[in-house]
Amino acid sequence: MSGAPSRASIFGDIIGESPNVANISMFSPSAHNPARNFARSWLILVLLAAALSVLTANCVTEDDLTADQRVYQLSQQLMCPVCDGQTLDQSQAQLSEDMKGVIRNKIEEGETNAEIRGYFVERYGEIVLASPDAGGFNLIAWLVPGLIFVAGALLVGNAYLNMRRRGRLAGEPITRKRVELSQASTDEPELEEYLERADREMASALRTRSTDQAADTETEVKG
Amino acid sequence: MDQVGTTAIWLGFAVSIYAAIASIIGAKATIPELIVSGRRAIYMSLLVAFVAAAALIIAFLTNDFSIKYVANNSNLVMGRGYTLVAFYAANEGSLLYITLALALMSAISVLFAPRRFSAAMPYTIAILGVVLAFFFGTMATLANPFETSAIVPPDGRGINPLLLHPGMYSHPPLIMAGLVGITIPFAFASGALISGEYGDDWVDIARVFAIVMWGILGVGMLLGAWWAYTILGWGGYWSWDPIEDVALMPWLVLTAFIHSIMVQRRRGMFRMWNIVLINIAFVLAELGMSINRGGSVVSVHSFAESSLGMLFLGFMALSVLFAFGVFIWRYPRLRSERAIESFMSREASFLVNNFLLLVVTSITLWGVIYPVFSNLARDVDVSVAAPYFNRVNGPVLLLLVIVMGVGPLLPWRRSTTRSLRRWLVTPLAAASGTVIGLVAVGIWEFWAVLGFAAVVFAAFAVFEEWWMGAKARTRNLGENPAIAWWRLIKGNRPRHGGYVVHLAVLSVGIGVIGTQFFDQRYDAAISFGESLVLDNYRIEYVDRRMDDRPDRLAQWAQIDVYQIDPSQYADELRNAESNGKAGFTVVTDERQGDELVGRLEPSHEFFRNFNQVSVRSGIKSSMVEDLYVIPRDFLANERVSLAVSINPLAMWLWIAGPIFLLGTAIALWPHPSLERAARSRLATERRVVKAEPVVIDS
Repeated sequence: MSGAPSRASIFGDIIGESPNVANISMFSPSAHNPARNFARSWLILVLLAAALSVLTANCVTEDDLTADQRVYQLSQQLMCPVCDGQTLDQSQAQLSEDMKGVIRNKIEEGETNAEIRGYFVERYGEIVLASPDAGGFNLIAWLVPGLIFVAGALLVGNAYLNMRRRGRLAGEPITRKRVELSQASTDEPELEEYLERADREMASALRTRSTDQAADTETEVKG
Repeated sequence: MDQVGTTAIWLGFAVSIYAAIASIIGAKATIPELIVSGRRAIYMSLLVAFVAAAALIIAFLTNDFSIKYVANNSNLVMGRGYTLVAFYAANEGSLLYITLALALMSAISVLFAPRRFSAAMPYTIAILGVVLAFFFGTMATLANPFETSAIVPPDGRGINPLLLHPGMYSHPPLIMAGLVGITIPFAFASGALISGEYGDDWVDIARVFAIVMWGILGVGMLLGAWWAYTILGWGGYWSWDPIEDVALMPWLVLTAFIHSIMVQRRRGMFRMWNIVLINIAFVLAELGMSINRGGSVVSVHSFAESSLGMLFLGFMALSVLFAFGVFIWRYPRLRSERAIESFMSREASFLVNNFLLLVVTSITLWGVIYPVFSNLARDVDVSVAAPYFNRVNGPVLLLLVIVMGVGPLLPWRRSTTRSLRRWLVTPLAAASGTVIGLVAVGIWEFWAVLGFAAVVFAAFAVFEEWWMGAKARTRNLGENPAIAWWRLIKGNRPRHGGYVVHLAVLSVGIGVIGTQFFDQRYDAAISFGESLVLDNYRIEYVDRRMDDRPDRLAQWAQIDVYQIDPSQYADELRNAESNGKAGFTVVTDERQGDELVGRLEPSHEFFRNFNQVSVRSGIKSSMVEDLYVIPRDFLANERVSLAVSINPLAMWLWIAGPIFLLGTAIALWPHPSLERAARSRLATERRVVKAEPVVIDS
C-alpha cells in the first residue's frame, strides 16, 4: 500500500494534472490541448509498458514452480546441440531426452536454473542457450531492441512535428476548401474517398488544360 | 526432357533481358513498337517458364533418373501425387517454381495494369524483366534443375520424408510465391518514380498486388503453423526460426504498407513513406529468399539449402542500391499534398501503427542476424530463438493490439477529446470487465491478463463501429439490423474487410496468449493397460499397430482419452505434487466419473534411407483447450514414451485462418457501383473542365 501514493504523484508530475491513472487525462474535459495530451498519454502508456516489463520479467521465481515445470521451462531455453534450430522441447533426438534427464537430476540435486544453464554452456558453448544471457558482449543483443524503439519513436515524432509545421505554413486554405467541398456534396463516407480522388484528378486535369491552353495561345500568337 | 528444359531456361533468360532492354530503349527513344515488344516479352517469359516446369514434371512422372534433380528427390515407390511436391522440394526445383510464379504474376499485372499507368509501364516491365532474368540466369548457370549425370541410377533417393504430407502442397508454395510476388508492387512503385509519374496511380495497382501477396504470405504462415502443430509433432506452431522470421518480416512491412497507402489514397499524404515501405518489403523478401538458399543462418527449414545464399545476398545489395537510389533521385518531387492536422486522427494512428510494425520488423531482423554478428565480432556462436523474441517483441506486439483498438475509433483529419472519449467507453468497459473477470476466476498472470484485455478492447472497437453504423442505418433507412450491417460492410469494403482481418489477428492473439502462458506438459513412458493422467485427462494406452515397409517403420499408438473427476484421483495427485510432477501414471482401472471423450491414433515413423523420424501428433481439440499427444518413441516391453501437453485456446489460432481470408477477400473485392459512381462523376467534371474555357473566352 505504501507504494501507491508515490506512484500517483509521479504520474501527477508527468501529466501535470489529475493524479489518477495515466490515460484518464485524455478524457478529462478540462484538457486545453487535446493533441498534446493525447500524445502524452501515448508516451505514458509506452513507458508504463516498458517499466512493467522490467518489473515483472523475473517475478515468477523458480521456487514457485514444480520440478516438472522447471524441466519444461529449461527444455524451452536450451537448444538441442545436434538438431538445426530446435530446442530440447521440440526435438526428437535421443540427446535431447538425455539432456532433459540431466536437467531433472540436477534440479533434484538442488541446482538453480542458472547453474544448470551454466553447466550446459560449459559443455556445449553459448550456442546451447536459446536466448543469450543479458551480460557481457551479449548485452548488445538485449540493448539494441530498446534502442530501435527509442530511435524509431524519435524519428516518427520528429516527422510528425515537421508535418504539422509545414501544414500550418502552407496547407490550411486548400484543406479547408476541400473539406467544404466534400462535406457539402455527400454525407456518405464511402463516396467521399472517391469524390476526393475525383477532386484531385480534376485539379490535375485543370492544370494540364491550362498549360495546353498556354501552348495554344503561344502558337496562335506565333501564327 | 533435359534438353527441352535447359533450352527453355536459357530462352527465358534471353527473353527477360530483352524485355528490360526493349522497354527502356522504347521509352527513352519513344518507339511504341519496342515498348509493345517488351511487354510481350514478359508474356513470352511466362510461356518458357511454363515449358520448363512442364518438362520437369514429365521427367518426374517418367522417372527420368538421368536428371540429377529427379534422382535426388523422387524414387519408384513415391506416389504420383507427390510429384508436384518433389518439384519444389529442393533448391533447383524451388527456383524454377519461384521463377514460374513470378513470371505468372508479372504477366497478370502487366495485362491488367490500368491504361492511365502506361507512361510508367515500360520501366515497371524493365524491373520485372531484370528480376526474372536473375532467376532464369541463376538456374541456367548455377542451379540447373535439368542437369544430368553420366551414370543413370536405377532408382532415385526419394523425397525428404518430412515433406511427405499434403501440407506440402500449400505452405511452402504459398510462402515462396508471396515472397517473390512482392516484386510486383515494388516494380510498379519504382517504375512510376523513374518515369516521373508522381501521381497516385501506382498506388491502386500496387495496393491490389500488395494485399494479394500479403494475404498469400499470411495464409502461408498460418498453414505452416497449423502443419507444424497438427502434423510434424514439434509441439509448437511458431518457433521464431530464421526462415519463419524472414517470411514474417516482409509481411509486417506489407501490413504497414497497406495501412499507410490508405492515407495516400484518401489524403494524399505519406507519399515518400509508402515508397520506402514497399522498397523495404521487397528487400526483406529478397533477404528471405537468400536465407532460404542457406548458408548464413541455422534453421529447422534447411530443405533447399545450397551455396546460392551469397549470390542472392549480392542481388539484394544491388536492389537496395537501385531502390533507394531511385528514391533519393526523385525525393524532392515526392511532396505530400497535405499535412497531418492532429495527433488524434486516423492518419496519426496509422503513423503509430507503422512505427510499431517497423519496430517489430527491425527487432526481428536484429535477432536473425545477431548470431552472425556475434560470430564475426568475437568468434563465438550463439543461438537466438523463441525465448528472446517473445521477450523483446511481446510488449511491442501488445502495444500494436492496443493501437489496433484506438485507430478505428479515430476519424480522418482530427477528432475532439469528447468524441474520442465517447467512443472509448464501450471498448474500455469491455476490457476492464475482462480484467475483473479473469482475476475473479483466479488468473493473475500479468502479461496474459493485459494481453486478453487488449484483445477484447480492440475487438470491441470493431464491434462498436459495426453496431453504431448498423444502428444508424436502421434508424435512418428503416433497414432490418442484419441487412443494415451487411450494407454497411458492402458500403466500404476496404475498410470493413480490414476490420474483419483485425478480428482474425485478435483471434491469433487469443491463441498465442493461451498457449504461451497456460500450457501444461507431462512426459512419461507407459505400457498397455497403463494410463497417464494430466490435469483433467486420463490417457490410456490401449494398443499398438505396426507397418514395416522397405523404406520405413511406421507405428501407431491407440489411445483412449477420458475426462476424469480429480477427486477420484486425490491420493495420486497429492503424491505427484509432492514430487514436483505435473502428472502421474496409474495402472488403468476405470473409476467413477471417468468419461471416454475421444480416441487418438498418433504415429511415429522411422525412415531408414534418411535416418529420420517423422511424428504425427494426436489432438483432442476444443474451443477451450487441446489435449496434445506425441509418441516420442516406442520402447522395449511394449512401452511407449509419450509427451502430453494441454494447450489452452489453441483452436483460436486456426479459426483465424478463414476469418483472415474472408477479410482479405472483402477488402479486395472490386466495387463496381463505387467505381462507376466515381467514374461518372469524373466524366461529368471533365465535361465541366472542357466547358469552362468557353465561358472564359466569352
